[in-house]
Amino acid sequence: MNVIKNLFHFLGSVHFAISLIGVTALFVLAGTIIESKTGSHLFAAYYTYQHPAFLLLLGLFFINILFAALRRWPFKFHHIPFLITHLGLLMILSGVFIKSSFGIQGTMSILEGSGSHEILIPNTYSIKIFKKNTLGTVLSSEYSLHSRSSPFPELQIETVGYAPHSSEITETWIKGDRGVIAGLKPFKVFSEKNFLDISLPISARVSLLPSPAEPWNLYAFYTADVLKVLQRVYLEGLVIKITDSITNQLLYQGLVQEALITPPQWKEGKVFLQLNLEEEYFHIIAQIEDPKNIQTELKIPLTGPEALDNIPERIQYLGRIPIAIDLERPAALLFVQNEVFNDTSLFAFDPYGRIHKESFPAKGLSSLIAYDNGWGGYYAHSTIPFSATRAKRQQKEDADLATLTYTLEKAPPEKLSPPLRMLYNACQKAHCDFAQCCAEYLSLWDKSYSWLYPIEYPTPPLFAQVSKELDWSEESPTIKKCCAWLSRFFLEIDPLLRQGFSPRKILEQFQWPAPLPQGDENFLLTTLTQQIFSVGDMLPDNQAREVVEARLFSAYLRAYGIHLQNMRSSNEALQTEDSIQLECPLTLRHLPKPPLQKVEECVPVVKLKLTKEDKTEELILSYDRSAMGLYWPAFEGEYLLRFQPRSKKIPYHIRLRNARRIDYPHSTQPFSYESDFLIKNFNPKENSKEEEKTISMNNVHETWDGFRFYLAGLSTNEETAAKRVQLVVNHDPAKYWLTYPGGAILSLGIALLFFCRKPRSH
Amino acid sequence: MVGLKKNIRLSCIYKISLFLTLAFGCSQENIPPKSLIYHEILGRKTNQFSEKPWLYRIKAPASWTHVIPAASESLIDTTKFLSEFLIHEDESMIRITIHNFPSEKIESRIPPLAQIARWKQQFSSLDPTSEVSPQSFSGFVGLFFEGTGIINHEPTTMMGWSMQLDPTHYRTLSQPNYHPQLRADVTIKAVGPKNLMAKHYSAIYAFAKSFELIEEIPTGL
Repeated sequence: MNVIKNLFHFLGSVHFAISLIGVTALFVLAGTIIESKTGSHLFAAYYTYQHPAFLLLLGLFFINILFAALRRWPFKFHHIPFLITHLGLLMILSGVFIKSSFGIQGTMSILEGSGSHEILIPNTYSIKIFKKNTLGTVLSSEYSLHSRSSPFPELQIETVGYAPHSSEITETWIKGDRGVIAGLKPFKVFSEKNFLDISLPISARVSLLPSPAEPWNLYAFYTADVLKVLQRVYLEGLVIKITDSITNQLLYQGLVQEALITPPQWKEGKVFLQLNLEEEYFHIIAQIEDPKNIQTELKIPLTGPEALDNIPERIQYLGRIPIAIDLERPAALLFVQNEVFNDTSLFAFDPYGRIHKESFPAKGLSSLIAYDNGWGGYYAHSTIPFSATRAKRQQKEDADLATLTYTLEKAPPEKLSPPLRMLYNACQKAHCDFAQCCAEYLSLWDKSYSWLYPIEYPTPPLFAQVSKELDWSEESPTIKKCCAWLSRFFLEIDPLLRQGFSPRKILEQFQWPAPLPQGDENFLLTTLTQQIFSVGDMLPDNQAREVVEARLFSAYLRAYGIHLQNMRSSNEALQTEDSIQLECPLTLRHLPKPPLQKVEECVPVVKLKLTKEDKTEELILSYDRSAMGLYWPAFEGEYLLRFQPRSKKIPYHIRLRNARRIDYPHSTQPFSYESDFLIKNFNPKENSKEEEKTISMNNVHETWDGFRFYLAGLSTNEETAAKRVQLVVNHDPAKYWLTYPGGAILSLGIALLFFCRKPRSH
Repeated sequence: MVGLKKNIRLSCIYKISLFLTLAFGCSQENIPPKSLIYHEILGRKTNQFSEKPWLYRIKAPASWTHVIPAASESLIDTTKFLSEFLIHEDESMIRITIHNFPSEKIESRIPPLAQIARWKQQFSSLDPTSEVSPQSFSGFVGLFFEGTGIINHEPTTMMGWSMQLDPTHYRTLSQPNYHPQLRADVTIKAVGPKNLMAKHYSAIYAFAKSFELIEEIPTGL
């Protein structure tokens, strides 16, 4: 009896209380140190605050407080403040026990316009399963990893493997040692390092464009150096052709691989080539040294809508240079997987040297095709914008010219600018097609790489027919004089421009008297032209009367800013009209890894064995912490599964109407985040009327039955997409009848302890 | 003794004020809304024999006049409004119209900027201060146009929202069990005298932002 009495007194003693406080302090100390060392609150909590020993400690606190109060028995009046204080403490501790046993804490993610009444319990694990029956009705259920029973009777689920941490790799076109394109036979993937000194092998030959196009070579490699493989495959059989674009005479033909080392030469010229595949904007730079005194660099883009255009690198307003560079090669598809990061790149090379590139990262694929919302599986896709027709540079230019001809045909004559109207009238008199004549003239002028039509160039045949009918007398009397002066002036300037001199420097050298605008050189030359036209009255008659009409007419066109470079239309639509579509099934590869100390960042992986009747399937699923990833199909799309936190329904349906960030006035610094919700209570005791609430960072919504809703995050601050809000939902069932009253009673007790102290006797 | 009592009183005041500060210091109450009424809005008939579906709701001050097209009107013509709200004050009036533009496919939707370009053309002259800014609410994403200029020889302000469903919601509502008009584009346009519009700016803004589908947009699976 004495032992019990002593034990009773000990359990209620101050010494025991101090010991408990000491042990608690040690737990807190350990928790703080572990958390600071590992950076993981969860890891620290596992060994301290969530440890059974800590819960036992709280139990002992309860006993100590209870017995300390009971030791005062029989209670006297002056014990009241002490008893009230201890009652408050017991109520708070009871509230803590009830909350930890029956309370919930979870997160809810809602997109503007949608709603939910389901929360995810963090750091819990379950398999969410959807089943679709023959009528298309979808049933859903959850399977706990430790459960022995399946949510669907016909489906047996067994956890046959588990790793606490893993990394997930998305496999697209390359899966192990084989490549996959939907609809084609799998092809072999080679390691590039086995072919360092010999030519790279072709994995397959397939027809990707409608016949009679040649089949495409298909290459697939693993490599540590994607660029090197790209260069090797691209240069395989790549031929360069240099032609005189006026006469269409072939000047040079040879392999680019050789031309990069030995500059291609022809009778009168030379070109230095440089292939750039290092940046995303693949291109060739060709430095031309031409007999016709042209010193320029051509940039030939290999990708995008401008691919294969011969664009003068610096001066574009003079038009094209009179030689053209084209490429030819066998069409090919190249799949390359980076051995280090497992990212896959797809390169497509069309027969004219165009390159199309797409990247398929092993983590975070930007887009995919989900057949039947995932029941039919997931596919990676690629759209290769290559056309079977209008693919060559020449075809593109012809299409541009045809578009221009069509536009000129449809243009009402009265809306034509004065020089074009003069040409139109001349064509009418000469019974010649205006649109054809104009397009032919502009095209040939464009190939001269001169500000004005060169004197030495042949006059276009149709223009030669109508030039006699050009009636300059219909125009202002000074126009022809101005054109003649401009022609004479540019006889000296054009050769310098063709050699690459800056127009501004040329004019400075010539001591041009009028002010010239800053900036764009094209604008500068147009201004110069217009300045000459504006002083036409003051100019003396030009002695050079032998100037050809084609050149005079080009001067008149320049005064109105008319040149083929300014009239070219975009033919993007034409280029993509019959693009190549490729697809491959999406699969995942999981690599188990040692668990991280920061438990919050571990990605567990589970291997499930699914059995239905006599069929068995194995499925490996990675943990989807946010439960917003893909569901994976099983048994040919009869079931969809995802490994995610356990979900729990709450008796409140939350609909998100509008989420926003509020900045400080005249600043971009956020002041607060707010969200407007409609909250509906499912509890039958409550009327199910919707309640409008605004929850913000400092404004938590609390319900009568202990649910608290905190705004934890906003997906984006931008107003360019529907915003997603993260809510933390917390339920403490004892809050209103234990914890809060306990707190109030404890406060009252402490107050009474202060005010009802017995005066101390001296 | 007097000094002791004074000390006790001061400590009481201190403790009570500390308690009150701790208890209510961080609390923030929702401001009760003014007298606002929900108005539900019907869609268009898809053909002469179909019924108009209930689609949207919006919250407007009780003093505003709600004009609903006659039940007999099919509203197949998308130039006709679904609902109109009028704010009268003295001789002046603000008209707020709500239209929707159904689409079969996500690619065939009219870009919000095209609607705004059309609205701009309604001004004979438009102040350069006119502004277009992105907006997203209730699952709709689009543009908000705000401009002042001359319409019919009067200084007029226009506030217009050209909104489309977020692509995620559009895909969800493309399932055959949902009414096709649920995924229609929506415009809300308020036009009125400059001064009157300035006076009701906040109310019109809040009105537009309260626009939503009556039925909540379901989530994927």
